[in-house]
Amino acid sequence: MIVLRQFRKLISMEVRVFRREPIGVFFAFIFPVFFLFLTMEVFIPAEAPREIVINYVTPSLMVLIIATGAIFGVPLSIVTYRQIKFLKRLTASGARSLTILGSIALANFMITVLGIALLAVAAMLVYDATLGGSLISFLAGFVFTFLSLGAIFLFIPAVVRSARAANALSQIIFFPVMFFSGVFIPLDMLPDWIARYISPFIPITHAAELMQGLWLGTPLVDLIWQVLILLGILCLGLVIAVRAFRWE
Amino acid sequence: METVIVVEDIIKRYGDLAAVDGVSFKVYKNEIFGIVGPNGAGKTTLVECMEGLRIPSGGFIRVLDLDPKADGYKLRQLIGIQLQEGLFPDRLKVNEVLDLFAGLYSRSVAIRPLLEKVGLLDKADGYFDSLSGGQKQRLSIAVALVSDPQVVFFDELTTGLDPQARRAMWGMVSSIRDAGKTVILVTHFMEEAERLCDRVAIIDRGRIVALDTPANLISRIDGGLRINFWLDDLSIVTELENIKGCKLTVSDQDITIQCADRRVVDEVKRVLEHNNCNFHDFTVSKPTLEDVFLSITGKEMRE
Ligand SMILES: Nc1ncnc2c1ncn2[C@@H]1O[C@H](COP(=O)(O)OP(=O)(O)O)[C@@H](O)[C@H]1O
Ligand SMILES: [Mg+2]
Repeated sequence: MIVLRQFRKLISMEVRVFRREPIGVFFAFIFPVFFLFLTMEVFIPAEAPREIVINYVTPSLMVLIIATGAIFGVPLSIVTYRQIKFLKRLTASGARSLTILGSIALANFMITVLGIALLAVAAMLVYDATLGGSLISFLAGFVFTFLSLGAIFLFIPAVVRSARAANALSQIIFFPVMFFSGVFIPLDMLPDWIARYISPFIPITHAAELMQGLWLGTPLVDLIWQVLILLGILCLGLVIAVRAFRWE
Repeated sequence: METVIVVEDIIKRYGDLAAVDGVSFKVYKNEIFGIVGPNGAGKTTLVECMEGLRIPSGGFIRVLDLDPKADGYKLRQLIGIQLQEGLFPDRLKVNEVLDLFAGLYSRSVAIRPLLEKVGLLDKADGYFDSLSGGQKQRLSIAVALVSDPQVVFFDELTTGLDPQARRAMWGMVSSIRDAGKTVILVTHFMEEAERLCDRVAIIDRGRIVALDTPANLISRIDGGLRINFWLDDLSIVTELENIKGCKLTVSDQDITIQCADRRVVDEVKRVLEHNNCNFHDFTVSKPTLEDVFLSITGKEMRE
């Protein structure tokens, strides 16, 4: 099937381009592990029970990895390719728009999976992190979170033109979103008004709660709100993307 | 002659502007068909309608018997396209780019011979951002040819290249036609069209103003030869004007003479030398497509 071959070629191209960009590799693979050590060794109080804390930190940092791909990886690829007219060039060569976008998303998914696996291995080996829930539902939750965050940040390519602007916008979004969603700092350590009036409006907050719940083994019924909210975010993201996406 | 492309009364509007305004022509198998005209004439819009990359506001197009609007994906599997603008990611190597594009088509040619043909074999392992302008264009040609298409579209292939690279590119385009393919060549260089094309459509403001072989187009304007030089002292002009078959125009000290044949050239030279005139930059030229454009539209191709 030609479409499958197109997917294969486009994904390996995308992974290649990613591999050759040291900053991207650093943020996808090294930074989360580094941040894990930093959190466990420096940030958490000495008297805190590490064997419990690690099982909150690990899924949070997995969300950090997913969000990095969703906020930086996919939008920047799209905007760069669009800016240099590479997207048009691919369309001119018999690839469909959906094949091209799907390949960019899939390549990013593979990179994210690898980043998460690295983090999980480090957390398990060094700090005895343990998956409290079922592996299947955790993996399903991971894919769902990836799709939901991936979709909502597709608004970035719709509102900027140049790769520089995309990069700037991604930076502006990334840091506040990470700080106020409970990923860098637990929600209950944030000022009350932020936790109450800002955090709920950040998609990452719900993603982090879902991933933590699934990692710790919280029954699915208790996570139904997070699932519904992320589903809403997924739909909203897709609607915005379909409406506002610019191909050229 | 087998017809490969039919374009009938194509219109493409952007708001109030009709970028392409009622264009019709046919392209036959195994010719180099030129679409020439100044920047903004609507050339890119026109070819991208033929490629199915833009949707015309009206009219009829068939390329290889396919409707580019309805069967765009099917069509683009059969044609080769070089876009006016369109780069590749900096951190891809030349052979990786070709491997990628070969994989997008249902059929493709071997990559090494293709690289050899476009003169990029020694750059196969080089990153795209390490290529010169000419090498990037040649990679673009290779991408257009990687699917072994029957019809190839080139849009401003040689813009931004130095004269030597441009000539090399011309050789390549001719060899593509000689290999049995049909080429649509879009350019704003009249000289390029004149040298390369079997037939040329001259377009201006979205309309075809002339369509013929370059030789026929040129023979339409009178005065076969053109003499140019400039004089320090214009007192000789009257005597020059009296030479038979000589059409003379003066602008400042620049003299332009149009004439039918070589004998007039010799006579002009004789008069100048006989009178010990100081004349400079004496050149004799044949009219070109630029002159054709000027005589049809009343304006210069470039300002
Ligand atoms: N996407 C577009 N939107 C609006 N105007 C356009 C668009 N593309 C081209 N034009 C206008 O149409 C005219 C023809 O453009 P183009 O086809 O690129 O000309 P050429 O290739 O001959 O230089 C120009 O005036 C250009 O500004
Ligand atoms: Mg153009």
